[in-house]
Amino acid sequence: MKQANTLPGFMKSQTFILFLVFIALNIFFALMSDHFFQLGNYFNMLKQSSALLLTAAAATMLMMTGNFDLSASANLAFSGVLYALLAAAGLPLLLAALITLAAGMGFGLINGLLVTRWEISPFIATLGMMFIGNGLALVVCGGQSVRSGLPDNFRNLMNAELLGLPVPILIALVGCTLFWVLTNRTLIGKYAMAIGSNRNAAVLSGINVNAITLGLFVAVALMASLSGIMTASRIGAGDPRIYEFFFMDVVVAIMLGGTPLSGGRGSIIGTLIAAMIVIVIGNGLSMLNVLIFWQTIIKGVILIVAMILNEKVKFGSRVVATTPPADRSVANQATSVAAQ
Amino acid sequence: MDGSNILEIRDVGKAFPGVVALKGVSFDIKRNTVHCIVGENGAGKSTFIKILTGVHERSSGEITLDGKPFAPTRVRDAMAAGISVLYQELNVVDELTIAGNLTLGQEAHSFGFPKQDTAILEKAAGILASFDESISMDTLVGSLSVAQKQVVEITKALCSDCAVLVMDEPTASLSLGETRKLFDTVARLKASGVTIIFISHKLDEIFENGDYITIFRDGEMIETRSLEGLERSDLVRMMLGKVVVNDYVPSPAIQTETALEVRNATTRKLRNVSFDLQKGEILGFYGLVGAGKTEVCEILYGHPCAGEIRVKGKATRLDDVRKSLKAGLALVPEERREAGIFGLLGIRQNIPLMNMANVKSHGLVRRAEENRLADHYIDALSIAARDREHQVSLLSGGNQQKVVIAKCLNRDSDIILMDEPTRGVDVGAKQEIHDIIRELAGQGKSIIVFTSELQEVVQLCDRIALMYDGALRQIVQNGPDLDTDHIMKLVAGEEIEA
Repeated sequence: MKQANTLPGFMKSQTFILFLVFIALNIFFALMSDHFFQLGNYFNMLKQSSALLLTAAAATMLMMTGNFDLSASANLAFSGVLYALLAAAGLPLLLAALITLAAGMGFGLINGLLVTRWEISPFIATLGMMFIGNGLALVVCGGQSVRSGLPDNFRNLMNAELLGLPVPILIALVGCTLFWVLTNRTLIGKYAMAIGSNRNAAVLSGINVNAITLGLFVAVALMASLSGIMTASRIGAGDPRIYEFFFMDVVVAIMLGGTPLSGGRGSIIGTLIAAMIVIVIGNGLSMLNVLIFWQTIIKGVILIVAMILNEKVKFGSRVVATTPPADRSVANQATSVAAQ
Repeated sequence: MDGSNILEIRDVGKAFPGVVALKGVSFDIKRNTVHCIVGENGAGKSTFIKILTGVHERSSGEITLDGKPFAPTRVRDAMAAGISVLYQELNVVDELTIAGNLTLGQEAHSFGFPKQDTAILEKAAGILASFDESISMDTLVGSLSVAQKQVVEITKALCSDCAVLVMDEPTASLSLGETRKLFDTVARLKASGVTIIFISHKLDEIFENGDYITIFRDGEMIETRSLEGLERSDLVRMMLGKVVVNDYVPSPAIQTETALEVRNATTRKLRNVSFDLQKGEILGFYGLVGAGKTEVCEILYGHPCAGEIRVKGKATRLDDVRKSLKAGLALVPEERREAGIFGLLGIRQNIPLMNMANVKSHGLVRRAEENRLADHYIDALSIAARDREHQVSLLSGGNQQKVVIAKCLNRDSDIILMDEPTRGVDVGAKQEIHDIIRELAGQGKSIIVFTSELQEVVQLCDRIALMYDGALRQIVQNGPDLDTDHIMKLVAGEEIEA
């Protein structure tokens, strides 16, 4: 009975530890740099990271089912270029965005069908789509960034404000809230967890495993595509080579946030705090004039530490689940032997 | 028709490419009984269960469930019709609570937001409490024992109003106390009107819980009858079929020198197993599935046990494969493809793998030496192959087995363990492998054969160790006056007056 509370307690505390780390980092950088602890800087950080937060929230749900999407970076680059091209061709921005989202959604449909219908491993399927997407991004623009001919309002999306808050922050807020509700308040979240924990049990319980997996692939693709539009708007261009390590950042956030690669459990809040930790470290180190190269190394170290933490959690739960019955039966066996 | 049958099975057959697994079986299962199904490996009982539960589609025949035609094509169909299965692999979600598991897939909701459905939850809680009052619905399933998880699964099946519950070796991973609890559960299920199809290799469990029994052998239904008045040895005789005792030739070179002594070996499955193995002798281990043959093999090859093992008079621990090899034991494993061969490599590369020392010089593999070894064994064991580079996975089962034996022989071990040495090989190759085994014994090697074929032990082995429920009941001497009835009584667990 006591063991029943160990696992969620630990997970809660893992998120809590992340939160403490986040606070500590903020205090550290605030003390080290005069420019860090200012509202403008925080808005800046959130604007830059809104795309990451959105996609990481969606990808956390997908990861809970034991799946992931390596092609998110390629989708982002392709969507950015397509959006810029359509805008430069004179389409109204809203229409250009809708067409881009539809195209980006295609990535998710293909990924999802490859994984669910043709039973290709998500690693292979989405790796293939990553190459295809990267190639497509270069093909549609001839390898050149799309900068000329863009309408004046192209950058408005990322620079506008609503209710005193920058629009990209609002978009991220709405999106992340949506995914939190989906995960924690709807059956989709419960089913995603069940699929990752014991796929067979989910199938036998009548859960449409393929539909949910496919839907989550599409959700991640939509968020990656929206991220492409937002990034293009932020830099004022469609760059086919932008943000190559986008998916890696997403993975760092998810892993550090406490969602294992194999799925079965996950925390949107954990992912978001972890993403913010990565962002704060990047921003803070820049303020301290630490070379960007070092930041990359630090990201790698963080990912490995996150993995070790996750392994420890998994190991702990395995011990709880299997040891007691095994021990007991050995003991019973021994007494029955002694009785003879 | 007669309303007392919940299931009527008529001429149900299943053919897979190249093999007929089920040859048109017909029998009835009476409502509200515990109906046992028994048979040795390959008898067709799992194929039958898979047809019944919608995993396989039958090739021929008819099934009626509750008077209505029944032809499930998916597991969901069978469940919807009221047939649920308690698999050996438990299908629960560890990360959810019991309540979460019991409602999984059936939740009441509006627009995907779950609604508290007290009616379902109360029903589930009531069923759960009838089995185990100590666990609360809010307990995380990951923290439960295997037996408790089984209770959760049974509860889930009952929540969806199952009429027939198939239990596939439900006690395989349970302790004794948990097994008792499960039997109570079976009794309670029966009392509540559920029909149970109970599959087990343990005869004790069958006689304790069952009302009726169906015996399968070689894809055929041998008999369906009441368990009342059935003798264990008759049951075993029906499971095993007729055994012809002939062509046993005593090994010529049996010496009084003891090669291996095992004293009071005890593990989770084994109880006080003691035996000796002489030099030049073929000793057979025989018992029904689950009697403990595999476990005896394991304690000689890498698994720890309590008790004492002496190799050539010297106390030795064999709890690591390397130690066993070093002590002079080698194993021809049961699972040839998984544990015996390196399928993608040729014969030449396979043979030296257990003992690279004799093809190695200065840390490099000498091709010429490999070739010599391969040619030697291809000739000595008459391996039918194109040449020594023939990829082993493409050889026939019998020839693959010969490659595995060659691999062991190259090790030059004095004691050779053979687990199911002729499973999945054709009749001719079987004879050849038996000849090889006899020849090895003639050369003074000691051989232990573990087999689930009674025919094989009586044909091949000098002495036969009979296992039942983890205990070695008796070692009988093979010879012209061997009594197979006596053997069947022992492996069936019947009491024998001393």
